[in-house]
Amino acid sequence: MSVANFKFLGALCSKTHNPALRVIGNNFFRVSATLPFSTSSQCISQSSEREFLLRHQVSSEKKTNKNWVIYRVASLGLLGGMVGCFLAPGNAVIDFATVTLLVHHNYFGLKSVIADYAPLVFKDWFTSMLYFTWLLISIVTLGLLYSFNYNNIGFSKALTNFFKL
Amino acid sequence: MASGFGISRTVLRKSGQRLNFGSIGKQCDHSLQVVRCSANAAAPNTGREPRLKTFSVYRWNPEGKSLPVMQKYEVDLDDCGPMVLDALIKIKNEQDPTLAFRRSCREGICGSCAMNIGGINTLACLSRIDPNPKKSTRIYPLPHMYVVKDLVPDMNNFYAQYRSIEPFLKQKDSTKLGVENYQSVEDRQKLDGLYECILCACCSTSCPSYWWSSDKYLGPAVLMQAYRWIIDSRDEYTSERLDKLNDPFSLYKCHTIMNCTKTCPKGLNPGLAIAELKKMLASHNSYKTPIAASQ
Repeated sequence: MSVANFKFLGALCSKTHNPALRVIGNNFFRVSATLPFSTSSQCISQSSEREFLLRHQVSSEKKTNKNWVIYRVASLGLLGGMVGCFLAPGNAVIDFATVTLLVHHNYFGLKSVIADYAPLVFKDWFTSMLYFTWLLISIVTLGLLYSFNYNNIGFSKALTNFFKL
Repeated sequence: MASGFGISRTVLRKSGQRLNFGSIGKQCDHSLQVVRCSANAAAPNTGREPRLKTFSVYRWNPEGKSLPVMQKYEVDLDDCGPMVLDALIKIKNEQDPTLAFRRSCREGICGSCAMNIGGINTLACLSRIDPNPKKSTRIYPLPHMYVVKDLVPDMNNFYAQYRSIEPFLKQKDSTKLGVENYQSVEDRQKLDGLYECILCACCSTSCPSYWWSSDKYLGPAVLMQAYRWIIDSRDEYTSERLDKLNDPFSLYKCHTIMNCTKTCPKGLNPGLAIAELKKMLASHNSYKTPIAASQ
């Protein structure tokens, strides 16, 4: 029963357009050809160790899950920071923290938008350029906001002044 | 408290279609309307005015050189079953045999007749015809899929993605070979709302993220099945399955648009499954292992 399943999977894999899967599929055939009828546990563990990875999964650095947590924690922090701006305007810690989290949130948010839509319209090199451009803009924004916090009234005071208009 | 996808969580939604019978429908209960429909379908047309309904169907022939067109067909609803699939079969039998569409079970369990009806991805066999004669029912193939002919989409990419998540039980302990895999009632309840997926692709093709990134984003149907195998207590490759999803595209292109849950014709909740996957991955540690070059 098990060998039949592997042959079936191997046949499936061999016919696919995905080159990685096809290689794996061909290897399947080679394994089961030498063992036409087997109940060996070694055969099973061999197939379980084979990977069915798609190309973008192979090259991944496997840290997206941690990044996702950081984005969510930063969003909550930003929420707290914006509330803190109104509760304690002029506080330097709140100013710098809010500004940093704001730029962090906006940078990764818009980067995700570029990643979704730019590859549909532009070539890969242009998309990479868009990422780099956005990174530059974010860094400049962060620098300017920091200098505003340091040399001027600060982000929270500016925000409260704006709402007093 | 039920665990996982127990009935108390809104996973198994009522998968009934909205019944648009006008003011009459609102006063009657569901079962009465079903009876009335079947009675109408069975009654022979005794010279009355035919109750004509226009169906505007997407047509495209790969062997011709023309662009896709919308072709209108008129169907007498008094001589037709209540579902859109009944109308399509009637059109194919009586008016245009060249109309191509997939169908099999006619009861919403095989997933073959998945198409876009009135802007919504559903199964044609479960989608009741809107009897309003002034509106035409628009029927398109599943959105953003390559079309083989008329209403038949190319499902190969979808199937390849399903294959890639290894939708079968994998165990490391070879002593379990030939021995029953015992599973507690609670563990089996976790699979409720997940195993019922018929892989019709209605959800994946309703997801804008899947439209734009169908080469790398797996889509809600496949991700829900990945979750089904990850939380299966009998499966021992949980960590490896989670590792496979740990890249910017496979899972994380989901932006919680929730079109998938809204459109599922079986009343399942892929959006919830994806959220649970993200939660599981948040506390998961992946160690990047180099892939053997011999492969």
